[in-house]
Amino acid sequence: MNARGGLNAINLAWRHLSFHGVRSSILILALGISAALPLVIQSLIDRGETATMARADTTPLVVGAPGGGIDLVLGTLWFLPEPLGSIPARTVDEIRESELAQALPVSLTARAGGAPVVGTDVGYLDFRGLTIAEGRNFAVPGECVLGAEVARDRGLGPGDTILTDPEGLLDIGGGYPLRLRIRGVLAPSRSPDDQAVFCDLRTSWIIAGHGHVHIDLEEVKDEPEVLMGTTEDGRSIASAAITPYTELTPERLKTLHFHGDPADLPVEGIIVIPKDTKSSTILSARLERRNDIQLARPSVVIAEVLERVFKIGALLAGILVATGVATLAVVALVLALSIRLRRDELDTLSRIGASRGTIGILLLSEVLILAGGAALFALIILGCSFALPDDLVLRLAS
Amino acid sequence: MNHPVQHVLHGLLATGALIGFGCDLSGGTSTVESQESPPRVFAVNFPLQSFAQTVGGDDVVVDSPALEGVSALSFDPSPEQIIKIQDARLILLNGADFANWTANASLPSSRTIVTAKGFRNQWLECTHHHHHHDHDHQHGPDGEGVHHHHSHWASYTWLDPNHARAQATAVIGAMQGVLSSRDAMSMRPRATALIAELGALADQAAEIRAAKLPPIIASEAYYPYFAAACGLDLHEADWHWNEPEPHEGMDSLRNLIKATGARHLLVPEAPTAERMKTLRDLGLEPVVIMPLADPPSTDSTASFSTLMKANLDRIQALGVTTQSAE
Repeated sequence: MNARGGLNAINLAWRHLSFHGVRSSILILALGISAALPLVIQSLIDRGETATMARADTTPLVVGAPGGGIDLVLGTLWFLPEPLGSIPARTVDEIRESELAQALPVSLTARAGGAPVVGTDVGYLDFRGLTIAEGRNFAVPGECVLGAEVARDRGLGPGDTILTDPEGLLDIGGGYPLRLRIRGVLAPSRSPDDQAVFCDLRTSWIIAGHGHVHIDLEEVKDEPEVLMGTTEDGRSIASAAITPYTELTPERLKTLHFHGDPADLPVEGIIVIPKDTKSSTILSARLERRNDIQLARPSVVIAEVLERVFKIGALLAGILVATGVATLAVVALVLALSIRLRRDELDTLSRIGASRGTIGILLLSEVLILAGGAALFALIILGCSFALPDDLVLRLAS
Repeated sequence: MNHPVQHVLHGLLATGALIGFGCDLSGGTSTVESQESPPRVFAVNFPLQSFAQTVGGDDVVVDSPALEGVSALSFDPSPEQIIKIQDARLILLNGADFANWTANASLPSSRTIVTAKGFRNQWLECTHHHHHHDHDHQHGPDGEGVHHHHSHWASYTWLDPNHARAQATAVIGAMQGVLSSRDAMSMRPRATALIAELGALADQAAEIRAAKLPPIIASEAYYPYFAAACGLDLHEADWHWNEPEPHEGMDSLRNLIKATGARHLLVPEAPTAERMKTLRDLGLEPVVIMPLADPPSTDSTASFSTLMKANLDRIQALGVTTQSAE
């Protein structure tokens, strides 16, 4: 058998597979999916572990209300919607005044358009290395910046506004939603920050009804939805359809005040960033002694969560590998049966002068082309999986 | 967990993933100023500006309302100006209710220093009503739960040299964190000199306190800390001292002069000729004690220590004058 004979055999193999296109495609799909699924699962778990642990590792300590450490960490780092207990804001000041650590409050009581509204210190963006891609940072209560996905999904940008979600349709005593002024959009960070709305802690307190502004009726006299007009003797007539939201304008901000000492107002979590290892040890010891708060180490908590996720993931991957092996066996059987069905064709080839080697190359080429197609398909699926969020596993698990 | 085959696959796919799935390679706007440029420090008033400039020298760029041509008292920054302040490597606030705008500004706590916080237990209540405070109201019959104490602190803490020294110490401590180790080393002699200057002023205030000066009337509510530092028998007049006649506080001022026997009136700046005549008619001699929230003029280059020394010298001279008269 010369090289020309080999090339002819490969050509014949290709022609045969092309002629039976549907069958070949099904085989490639079956093999490709069987090979891709374990890889995709493993890749998602690995990326999830890396991304999740990276976020946990860069968040040294978290302080919150006594209770479940997992809920506290997932809420403070991933802004999950499950309600968290709160602690007074004076705890933030106490940690700062210790001069052992930086303390970033996180308030999670509100949502806007379904996205979590994170009330925090403006330094949070620096801490997470987030940059403003468009517009500017929030500067006063009532302003916000959007995570990249929130802005993209809702088609919003600087200059637009976003309404906070009402606390409850049947809660007639609840506060009005706040119309937040969007001042900037964050650059994508492939993290939960992409899916959140960030504002000043005081903005969150206002949304939660812990503070308010007063509206000067003179300021809104030209807004028919608020004031219908004035009587002959100058008295204002309110519209029946009072604006169902509040907005903080620069003038109204001058009347902003809170009900009670701001130090008593709630925060759901505090991200604590000690200056160094020694500071961390001293501060941890102090905080752990307290019964009114809970101290959690995100890296430890998330490692526990991931351990559970990985056990499930490993089981799933094992099942998928077994399924893949079974698929491979079925495909091998199909190919073996195919050869048996093609016995007359192969005999004809032999009679017209094709050597056993050429026939072997023909059959091997078919297998290799199918395997190559399946591998390419598996790679495409794996590549597509990179579009999924790095922390998808944690999101699904939680 | 990480299989070699997967590493190879990840490597092969990395380029495709970057191109295909929108990895953002464009630069965003950093929320903090570049670490390489000279650190920019924002100071909310003249004393802190002076401390930062004296200590930092050419190694820092100091911003403050006065340097922008705006009084620290009337400075009400726009959100865009607040963003510029946010970007400073260090933000020096006074505390004690100085600069109401800071209450509603989003400033990064890690880079914001409230320099008077260290002596919070020595803040003095302000007996003067803030007319601009237009949101006093009650929630419920007794107004319980409404937090309004924030309008009641006297703000001019730096007029007590001991407090000024404490604030300068806070500034020095904070600036060590933003300067390179070489610049921090070169800062030390200047810091030591500044603390020594302020210490001398504190000693001078102690001397004045020991001298027991006669009763004095204050024209404005700037001087509680100054009075405490110098042990003054100070009486505050509800009288807008430099406004043209007629003035509704004149009768209460006469009563105050009669009740206290005071012959001196502390004023923040030299009175107009018309007002000087009024004061002389009342038997009062003005004594200029600069509040120093702002520099005395836009072209003034004098440091806080120099101007505060002038304040103390003028008040100390009253003791000499009184003794001569006796």
